[in-house]
Order: sequence, then structure tokens, then C-alpha cells
Amino acid sequence: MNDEAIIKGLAEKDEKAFRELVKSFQKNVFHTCLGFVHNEEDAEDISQEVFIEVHRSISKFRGDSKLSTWVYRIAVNKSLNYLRKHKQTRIMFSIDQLFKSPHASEERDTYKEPGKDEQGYENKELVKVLNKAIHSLPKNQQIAFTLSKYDDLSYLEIAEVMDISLSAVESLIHRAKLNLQRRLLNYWKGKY
Amino acid sequence: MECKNIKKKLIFLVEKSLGPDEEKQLLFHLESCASCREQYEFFKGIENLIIEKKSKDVSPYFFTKLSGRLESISSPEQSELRPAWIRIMHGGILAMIIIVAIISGFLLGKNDSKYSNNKQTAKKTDNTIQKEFSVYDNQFADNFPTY
Repeated sequence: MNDEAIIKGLAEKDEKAFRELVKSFQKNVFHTCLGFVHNEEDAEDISQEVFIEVHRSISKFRGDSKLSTWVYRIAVNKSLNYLRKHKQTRIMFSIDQLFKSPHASEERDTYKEPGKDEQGYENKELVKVLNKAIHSLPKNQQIAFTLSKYDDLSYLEIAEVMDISLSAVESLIHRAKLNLQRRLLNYWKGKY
Repeated sequence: MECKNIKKKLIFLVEKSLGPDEEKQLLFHLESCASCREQYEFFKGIENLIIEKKSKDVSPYFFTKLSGRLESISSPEQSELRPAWIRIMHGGILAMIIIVAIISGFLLGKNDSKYSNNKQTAKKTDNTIQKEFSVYDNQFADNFPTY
């Protein structure tokens, strides 16, 4: 089903069109939300809200951007609203969910801390530090970085979602990486 | 290349977003500089954490849960079955229940205090009667004929 057929189907409240929409975008929406909230359960909740919003507001979609762009915008807004509401308590995500991955033990070996027996503990701390560093970025840098890093969107796609120029996206992502590098290095120097 | 300049570019080296010549220069430096190499490994670890998070997927019941949620939220038929006057009536009934509960509590409390007053009076009376009887008991006991 192409975008036009999905949009037409959604406007007519066709379940098949809605199912197709969810099938096409659920992974991307989930990764976007996960990139912001760093918690799988919350990311799934917010993802559902995104699709409910799309279902509810399809009549407002003017068609001047791609359907995917519109869906990403809703995902970003829902995630940021969630973070605003849970500012105090949702900076750190559920560590248990991260380490349920079957590949966790292989990837952990890449970063080795000499003399430390509990690799798991080190990685948990690193995850917290990373999330805190991302959350401390200015909002636009955080959005651009998350869409680039967690969704693998091209700079052009990010420019469409954020409604800014391509050069602005390049600049935002470059500054975001430099800021993250600086903050993570400060942690590293303090620790080691 | 100085370590200071190298360290500014490590995150880009990890992402492989440098030009081939620059990448080669940096990697060459890392072979001989332990400090820069340690920081490079640190950033590689960070990158791997992000890759791991990206491997997560939604639960297989995502659409089922979503459909259920959508049904419960947007069912205009339900609101038609419950016109405004029913909702107002429900509120009124609830308010009445609360008022009745308050009044009942007040009345119960009042009865309770009355009961405790009666209890105290009864106790006093009991004590008085006991005292009176005890006087008679002794007299009676003393005068009771023995066989």
C-alpha cells in the first residue's frame, strides 16, 4: 500500500490501512521514542500514542510533506512532551531492559576497563552517563542527533522533519557530537 | 599530529565519518599513543551501547494493544448511550451518598456518646446497688440460721 492509499484508508477509518501504517512505521517510531526516553516500556507507550494521534488527526494532514515526515514529527513531539512531564524521573532508563539483549555480552567486550571484574556494572554506569549527556544537549541538537543516530535518517530527511535547512542540520549534528564528546570525556577523565 | 587535535576528532573516527587520509593519520597516531587509544576505546564502547539500543524491537503484541487502546478511546457510540443528564445524575447520586455517609457518621457518633453516658450511669448504679447489697449481705450472713 502506498502513502496515498494509506492516507485515504485512514480518512475512511479502514482498519487495513491503519494496520499497514503501523506495520510500516512501528519500528521507526519506536526507535525515535526510545532515543529520547531510553526506556522500552515508555517508548512503546509513546509509540502507541503516536499512532493514535495519527489515526485521530489524519484529516488535519495537508499532504505538503511526506507521510513519514509527519509521523516522525508527531513522534518527536510526543517524546518531548513526555520528557517535559517526567523531567525529574525519566533521565535514566531501565538498565535491565538494555541488558536483556542476547548480544549484550559480546558488545560489552569492546570496552574494557582493566582491573574491573564487573563489566555489567561499568556498562550500566556508562549508559546513565550517555543518556544524561544526550539529555543535556540543547533541544534542537538533541532532536537532530537522536533522529540521525537512533533512526538512521539522512540529513535531508531530518531537515524535512525539523523544517530547517540541510546546512542547519549538519551544523546541529556536528555541534551535538562535539558537545557529547566533551561531556563524555569529562566523565572519563574524572573516572580514570 | 598533536594529541589535543586528535582527541577532538575521536568521536568522528569511531563513526567513520572522517575522510580517508585523516582517518589514516589518526589510526597511525593511535598505534603509538596509549592515552588517545584509551579514549578511542571508550568512545567505541559508547557507540556500541547505542547500536545495542537500536537493535531493540517493539513487542509482538504491539498492534493488538494499540487496537484495544484505540477502541476504548474513540467510541462515539458509547458517549451516545450516556447522555449528559445520566452523567449529571451519577454525580448527584454520588454526592447524596457522601452526604448520607457524613450524616450517618454524625448520628452514630452522637448515639455512641449517649450510649457511653448511659453506660457510665449504669456502672454507677451498679456500684451503688452492689454497695447496698453488700451491707445487707453481711447482715444477712450474720443472721442466717445455721442448722
